[in-house]
Amino acid sequence: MKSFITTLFSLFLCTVVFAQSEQYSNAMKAYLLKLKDAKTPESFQAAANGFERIAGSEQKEWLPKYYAAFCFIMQAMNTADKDKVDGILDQADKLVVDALMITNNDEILCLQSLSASARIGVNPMTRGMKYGQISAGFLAKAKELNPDNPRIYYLEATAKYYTPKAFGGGKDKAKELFEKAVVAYSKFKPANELMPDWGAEQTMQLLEECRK
Amino acid sequence: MRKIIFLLLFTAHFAQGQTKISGKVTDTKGEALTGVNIAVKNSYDGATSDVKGEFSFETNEKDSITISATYIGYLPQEKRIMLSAKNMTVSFSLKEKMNELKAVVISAGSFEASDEKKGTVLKALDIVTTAGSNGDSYGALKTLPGAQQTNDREGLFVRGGTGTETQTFIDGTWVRNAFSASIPDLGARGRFNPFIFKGTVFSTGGYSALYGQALSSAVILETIDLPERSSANFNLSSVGIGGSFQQLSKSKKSSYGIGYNYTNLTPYFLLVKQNVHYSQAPAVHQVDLNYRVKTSKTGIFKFYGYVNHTAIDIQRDNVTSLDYGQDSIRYEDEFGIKNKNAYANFSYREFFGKGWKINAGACLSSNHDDIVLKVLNQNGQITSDSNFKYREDLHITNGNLLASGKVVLEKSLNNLNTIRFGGEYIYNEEKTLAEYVPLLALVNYVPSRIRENFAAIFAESDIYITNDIAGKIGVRGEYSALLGKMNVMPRISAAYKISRKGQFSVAYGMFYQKPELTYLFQNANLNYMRADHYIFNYQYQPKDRLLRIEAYYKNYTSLIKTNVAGAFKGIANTGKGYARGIELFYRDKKLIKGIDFWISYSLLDTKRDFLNYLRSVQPDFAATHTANLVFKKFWVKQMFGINGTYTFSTGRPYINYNTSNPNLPNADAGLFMTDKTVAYHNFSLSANYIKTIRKAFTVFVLSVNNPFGFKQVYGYNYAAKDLNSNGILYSKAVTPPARQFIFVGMFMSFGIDRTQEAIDNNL
Repeated sequence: MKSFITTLFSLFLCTVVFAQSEQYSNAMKAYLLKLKDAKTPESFQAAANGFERIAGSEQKEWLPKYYAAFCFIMQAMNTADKDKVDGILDQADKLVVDALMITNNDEILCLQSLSASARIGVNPMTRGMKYGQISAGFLAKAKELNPDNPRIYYLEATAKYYTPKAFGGGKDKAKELFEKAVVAYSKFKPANELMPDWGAEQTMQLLEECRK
Repeated sequence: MRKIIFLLLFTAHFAQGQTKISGKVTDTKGEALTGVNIAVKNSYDGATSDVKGEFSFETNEKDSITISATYIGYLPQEKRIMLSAKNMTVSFSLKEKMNELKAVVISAGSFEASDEKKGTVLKALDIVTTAGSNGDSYGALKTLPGAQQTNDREGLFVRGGTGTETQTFIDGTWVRNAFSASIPDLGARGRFNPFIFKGTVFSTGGYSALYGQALSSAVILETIDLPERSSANFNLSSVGIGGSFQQLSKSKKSSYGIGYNYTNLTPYFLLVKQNVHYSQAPAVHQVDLNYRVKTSKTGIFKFYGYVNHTAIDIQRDNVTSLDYGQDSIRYEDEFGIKNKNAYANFSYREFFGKGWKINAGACLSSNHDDIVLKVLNQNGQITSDSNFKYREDLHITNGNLLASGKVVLEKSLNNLNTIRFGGEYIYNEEKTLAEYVPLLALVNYVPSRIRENFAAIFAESDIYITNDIAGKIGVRGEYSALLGKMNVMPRISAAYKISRKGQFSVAYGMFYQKPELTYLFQNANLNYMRADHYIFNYQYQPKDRLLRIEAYYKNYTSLIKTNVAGAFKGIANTGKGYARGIELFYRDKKLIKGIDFWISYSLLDTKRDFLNYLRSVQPDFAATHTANLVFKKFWVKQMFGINGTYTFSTGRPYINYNTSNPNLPNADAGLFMTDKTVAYHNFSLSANYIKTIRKAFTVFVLSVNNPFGFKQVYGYNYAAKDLNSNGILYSKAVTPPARQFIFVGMFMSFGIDRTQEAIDNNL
């Protein structure tokens, strides 16, 4: 009888644990789909909110925070009202810092870099220099941790692409880096379907632009 | 037992019924909020509010749950509800966070240029990209409403105030010699390179209790912190050559820099004819030094200093000799100045725990002028004409020494409310000595020396009632040992935001200033001069546009008069006056694609009775109407830009010594200052082109001041004596030394992408 109860109990615990992780990955997948379809600032916000809710319950997971931050950055980049951008990015940066408390990895550093470049958009003339350097700094750190991460090269290339030639950017310099990113993307396989896997499509698009 | 287990499993796995939760989120004013995150605590359930602020979702939770609503810029809210029915309604009304970015900013009387703060009228770069400013910090400020185009005199003339009524403060401390060595009728440039500042506040009235001793206006400058990278710079232009480097330590915690610039206008004056003769064209040596160190995560100590040597010697027609009306006896006035100036500014900023912050500053400066004033005859020798006795060979030495310190403590309370208080102490020593050097004997006038110990204490509080209503109350007390008098003055301002884009603000302030040294040297028994400011401001700021309307009234009392019967040397605080006006500022970056422009207009109605004035009149430095149009255009692809400034102001009154000479006892007061100069027009244009030459970002600049050659007259100089006894004193217009000024320059920057900054240098 006793063993029966123990078995049953452990079975019960297992189901709960299993159910929970399945529930987690299902929820994550659902919002990743939403993120994939998102185009407007509102839809990015809705996806960000979803990831934040998951993050609220899964305090030990870095991915919900990572994706919530990613969605906020995308929302910021798509927001026309420049006065709102910094507030949204502050929220993203807070999530990124929380994620870094859980684990320090190259993907989060890439996101920090992306967030810094997003701030340039508010006023490229006055912010370009400061945030361009901050953004590049995060990528350099990411490279130390994992030089194979293709997003590092994609982000480096994008930064060059949007920097005018006389300021040290330009399509020619961007093209080399995009090509490097393409190679890195071809070798890259995310550890599982929840892991970050973005940038490949945009790399191809911008590389096309560079070749024009 | 078995039953219990089954019951347990049953509840856990099978008893799942869903509850639908819906509702609405608004702000405290009842406006729908979109994008709010509605979440059930400890579950994934939730939703995002839509355009109408509405949301709905289903949850499998049971019994009582906590629902939170969170949104950027608002205080989060939680509600605990019992899931008692299939459909539940929950609504939220979120309160906006007190937020510096959203909170109303008191804008009455002040124009701010900063990249860090929101809602500023200008960006830091605007200070240098304004055409016609020629790399002078004060140049761009002259295109803002309130400032006058008094380019023939030293200082910034604001709202009917004299140039000395505007004072400059760097990192909190007062700057004694803000302008370079000046020559009569030619004005003076600001001494400081605009690139060392990250923030500029130009207050045209009603400024904070932290500052004092400026009746009209305060220019408050904040120096840059650590640079982003090490760099080296080189420049070559039609007026000089220079270089500098800036070294950032490996740890990025400290930096130092040194620079040297040599300016000499001799080659330029050889090429471009001037209507005056220079036996020494302006020649300036300047060495700049800086050191900055982060003392902790939040603290920084900064040093900035320079030494400067300037020499100019100019010869112009002696107007009195022109009264002879004979070409054979035309004399020249020689004015030669050698100026030595050194400046050191130390500042320290640190945040302590519990919302405390300290801003401390200290300043040391010294200035020495060697001036020669000679009247030369046709052969270039000192004249022996007895009509010019005691004026033909004067030697004047002026000097001042300053040491000051200032501490401001700041405590942030909840919700942006802040208290600031502190004190400052200034010691300065001023001396002047005039020597008359005729051919045989040497006459020393008694040297004048003044020592001043000045102290001030101040307190100020920012009060935010909501994001939309804010006030500032301050008080300042000062004591001058020289005058032996103290004063206390209140400063009050408030702002109310009527909509997301529009706001009103008002300000009142009382301001005291010591009389100018010229008068204190003669009569130390004087009192403070006083001005009271009343300002009303409306600002409307939609995206990429800004409209400001400001009305003010300023009352002057106890100004200095120099013709008071019975007073010691005729000098007493019996002058008074007023200034009132309406000013407009409109900036638009959207109307014409790619062009950023602003228009400013100032209407000034001012009268004062001071100095040797015979009655209360519009003073000779004030124009009734002043307008500016400033535009900027940059082609990113071509890396080419054009900036332009057009300035207009109506004529200024001047003293006509032939109709009403204040030096004569029976002068006709009714005719005093009734003549006016012609209206003033000026246009400045500058073009810049950026190119990378090897590894150096290089900027080429060409700027032309007054290409259309408008005739500019600032006033008239009159002969001191009627030498040909025809009853009329000869007069000559005060004009710039040349109609046009052309600048060509090249700025190279190594190691750091300073392109954008470099573009703007000397535009």
